[in-house]
Amino acid sequence: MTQHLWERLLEAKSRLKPVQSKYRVLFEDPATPDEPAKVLVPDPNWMACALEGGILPPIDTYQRDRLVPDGEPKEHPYAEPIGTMTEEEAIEYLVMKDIDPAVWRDYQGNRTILKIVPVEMIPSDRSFRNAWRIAQ
Amino acid sequence: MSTLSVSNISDGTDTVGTSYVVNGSAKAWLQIGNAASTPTINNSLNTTSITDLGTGQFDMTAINGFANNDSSFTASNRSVSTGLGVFTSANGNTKWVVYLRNGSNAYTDYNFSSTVHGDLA
Repeated sequence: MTQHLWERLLEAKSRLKPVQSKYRVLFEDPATPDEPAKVLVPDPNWMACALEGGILPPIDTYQRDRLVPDGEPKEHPYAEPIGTMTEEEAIEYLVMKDIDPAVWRDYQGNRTILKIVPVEMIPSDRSFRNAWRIAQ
Repeated sequence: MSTLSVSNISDGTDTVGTSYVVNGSAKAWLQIGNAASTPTINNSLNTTSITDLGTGQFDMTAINGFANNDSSFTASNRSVSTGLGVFTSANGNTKWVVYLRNGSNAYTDYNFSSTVHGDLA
């Protein structure tokens, strides 16, 4: 019987050293074009689980769970875990898990609205944070 | 991994039901630093990522989602005592958002911590 995801996470937290990713995901939401670009920051404990393997569920279980009504049983906590990922594969998994499909799958416009960039490319000066756009 | 099945936990003087401990434990938490420059997650449990939505606005995502949108989401700013603090709300069964404002009610980039109590999916 597959161990519940929560139990695997607790065990991993006690054993694995966090891994700060060298990447960030910069994206814009086509549904809200007036809002600034958003920056997704991977969790270092989650990244450690992704690189280790045998902890995280398949990405398609999260995608099916998006369609499950509030309060109904979800699939992802009980799914068989997947194997090890590279950091790049982990970032792709993260894009599909944490960003709306309208951004990474369904958008058909001409603008580039999603970029995976090294953390050094994200400005540290946030004076004009609410005017950030992805350079075209 | 072995499982210990008990109804109550006792230290010899006080006794508490196991369900109090299981149901009362935080199901996700995280601490955010460098919010005013390059936000990073310093430590966490059961979170996949944060998304910096703009000044003073952050979106958090859980690894193990919650049973419903009725979980208790809390947060506190870790930078100043004069800020108005935070507002949190659920955004689906795996996401929640935190808004941080200063004393003038303007969004501001404070370091913050956030915790979720509730039922897991």
